[in-house]
Amino acid sequence: MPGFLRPFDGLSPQGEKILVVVQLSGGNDGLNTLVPFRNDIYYKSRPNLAIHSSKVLRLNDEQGFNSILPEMADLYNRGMMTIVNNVGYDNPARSHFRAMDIWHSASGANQTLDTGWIGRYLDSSCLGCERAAQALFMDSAQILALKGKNRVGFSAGEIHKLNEAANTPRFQQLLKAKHAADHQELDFMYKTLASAVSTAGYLTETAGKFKSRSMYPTGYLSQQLKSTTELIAGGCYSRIYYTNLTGFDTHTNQLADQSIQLTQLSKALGVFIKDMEQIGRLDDVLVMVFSEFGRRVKENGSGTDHGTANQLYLIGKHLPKAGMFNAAPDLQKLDDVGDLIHTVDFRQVYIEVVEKWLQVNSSQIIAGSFPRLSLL
Amino acid sequence: MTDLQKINHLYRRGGFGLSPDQFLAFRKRSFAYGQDLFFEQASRVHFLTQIEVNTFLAKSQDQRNKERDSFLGRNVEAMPDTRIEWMNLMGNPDVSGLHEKMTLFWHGHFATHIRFAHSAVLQNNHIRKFALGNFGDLLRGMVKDPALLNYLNNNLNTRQRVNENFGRELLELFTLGIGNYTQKDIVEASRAFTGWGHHEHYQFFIDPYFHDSDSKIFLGQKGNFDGDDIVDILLKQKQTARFIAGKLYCFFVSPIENTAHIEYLTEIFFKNNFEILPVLKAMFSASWFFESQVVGNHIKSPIELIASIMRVFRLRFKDGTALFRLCEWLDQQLFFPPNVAGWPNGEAWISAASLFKRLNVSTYMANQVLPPPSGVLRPLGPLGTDISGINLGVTGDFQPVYTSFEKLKGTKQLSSLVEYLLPVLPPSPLPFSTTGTSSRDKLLINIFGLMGTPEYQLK
Repeated sequence: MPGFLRPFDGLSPQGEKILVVVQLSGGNDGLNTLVPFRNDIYYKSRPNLAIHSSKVLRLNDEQGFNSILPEMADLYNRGMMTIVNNVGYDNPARSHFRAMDIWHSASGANQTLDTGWIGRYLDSSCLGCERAAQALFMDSAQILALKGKNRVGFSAGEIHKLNEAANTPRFQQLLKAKHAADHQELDFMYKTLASAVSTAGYLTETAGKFKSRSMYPTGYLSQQLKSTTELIAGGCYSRIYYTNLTGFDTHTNQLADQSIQLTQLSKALGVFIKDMEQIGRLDDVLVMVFSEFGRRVKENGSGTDHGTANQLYLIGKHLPKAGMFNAAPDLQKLDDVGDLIHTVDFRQVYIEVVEKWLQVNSSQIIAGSFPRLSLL
Repeated sequence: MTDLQKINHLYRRGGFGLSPDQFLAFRKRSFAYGQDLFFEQASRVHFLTQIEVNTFLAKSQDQRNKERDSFLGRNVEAMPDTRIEWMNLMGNPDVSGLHEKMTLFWHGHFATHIRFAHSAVLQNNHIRKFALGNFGDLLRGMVKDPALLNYLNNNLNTRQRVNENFGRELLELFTLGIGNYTQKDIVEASRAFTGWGHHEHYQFFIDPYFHDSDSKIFLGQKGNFDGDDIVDILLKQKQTARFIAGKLYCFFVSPIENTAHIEYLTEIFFKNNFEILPVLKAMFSASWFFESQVVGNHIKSPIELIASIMRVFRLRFKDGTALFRLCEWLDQQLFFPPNVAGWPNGEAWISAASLFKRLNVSTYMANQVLPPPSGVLRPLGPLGTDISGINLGVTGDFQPVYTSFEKLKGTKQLSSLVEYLLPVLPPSPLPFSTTGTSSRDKLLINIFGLMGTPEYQLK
């Protein structure tokens, strides 16, 4: 039975590190995001879908952003982005659900864990500390990544309405009531209610302290990043903000569909980073952008099939390895299905983020031993 | 456990709960009587009404091409009525809860996003026909179902260019479950389904030009398999029985899997050649089904919650847009599953926001029928503003509730209501008060008060 958040108290002090995760759900096609614009195999494999080299914002001699991502290219050129190519894991799962579970739980492909890596961070980071660290899911559902054994992150969608409802008398009475013992699911609901009250009140008040006047593009990720800005600016005591953008499962009509999602991603991240600069917290923020898998090299009609390894993006002001961290995907060396072969395990990245950014020991959070990357 | 408690548990889990009159009628009956009636009712199958398409189909190809957009438009416009018809079956206490719930179970299992009423009814009526019948018959029809083939991109699956989506989900989600086949099996199964498609969103056909009739190796067997052969091979696998038995167990018994119990059901399912009814009978008779850690320890999905409220007050939806908005608000829309894996079970339905809505929903629905008399509970607050302003378009009948419970007074009425509505003890003290209200208001406050608790979210 996971425990629940205690009331937030106090402010997140200047200098405390914050992680913002941007999850691209559905399997973002990495090859059309960061285009290998000199690679013949890429162009031969994608006669309909390849991004022409004239529509690429070149980052080096091999790879460049699809031109619908100018803000991302700008961040890269300002030394504020590290791109890790070929991130994946052994025996990759091509199922959305399985792949997402693997990324959320930081498990291997042949292993199932019922807690998430951030949940375990919440569990372990508080050993001996005065105040527990917190994590917020900026979407409204539950997510495995934020579920620990003893603590779970809070789903912060719709916090204003929640806060108003929490102050009605019937609800307050319900909270004081005793409920039937030994009923796990009932217990879960009562704890959800109790945590909702204290957390919704705190979040509403905190987010209300600052209103971003920046022009975020329309879209679901934008809303989440805007709320994240307001919470950070208000001094919210959360170390992790987990955002989610869906719509990347482009089996058909990829060019149009992916471009809508990527445009929002790039614009929203651009505004978010500007906002962080403006409120003086850019030094403290690291953004990590990932998707559960990339897509197959060879196109399939107007779309692409589920693939394997993909890029992962880190964005922030203090990146010792800003730029291209490792070599571009080797399209001559694909697996037997025709998918990219990973060269970096995603857990190596998590370990870097946990140890170097969140500054806690990763042994209780990420299982297994991996070579250190020196990424952060 | 008393017989009445066991009957209540069976009807809550296997259906959407009892109506007040059914509850009273079962008070003096044995569990065996209640169980017999439960299964007997399930043999009476209801079907959804198909929209008229023959006029369109009878037209020439040219004419159809010209009219296709408006034909499909009418199909889309008919979806709200299709949803209403199904919801009103689930919420009607005179209709078998088990049959409706199995239809919902298979709809989640073969999760398909469907925009066109004709395809939706076609698929749903196929599910209705075999919901408690033979899984093989169900599966053989589903792999030819136009809506499912379309949803899983099998229209793009050709021998010239294999699309694995349909093949993968067939193995991962419909039969074997993940980890029981290789990537190669996915490709080979997909090849067998190349060229399987449909005309005009309604009619199955195999296009020989796109079908790969060469030899395939699937799960260690070799042959010039087509889709039917693949299904036959899958129906020889005990793992298929195990996977389905496991899903039934999680849906009906507990989201926490119990290997021994699932294995017990697997044996029955496999031995009975994938007949579904024997598994359900075994599951709903097993001693573990009535254990205290099972009873009342499962969370209703939003559709189950709506249906269970409907059965109390004999509510019926009249307005498709209103039903759509209500379901959107609670985050479960019939024919719009969240993804190919269907809907989750249990705790995944509960977040702080969803719980608030769920505590309010009975008051909203019933208030549409019954202008609240003074003192009757108001919704919990502004979370309701999303739907409180709209007319949900429901009708209902409160008479069975009055007839059944008004003659009981004071604590007797309350304890009877608790037993009827909640699978566990209510919160203490109760979060509402009936002091100083008329007897009818007292009854209504008690009912809505109990329905507005976390306990009522359980089944």
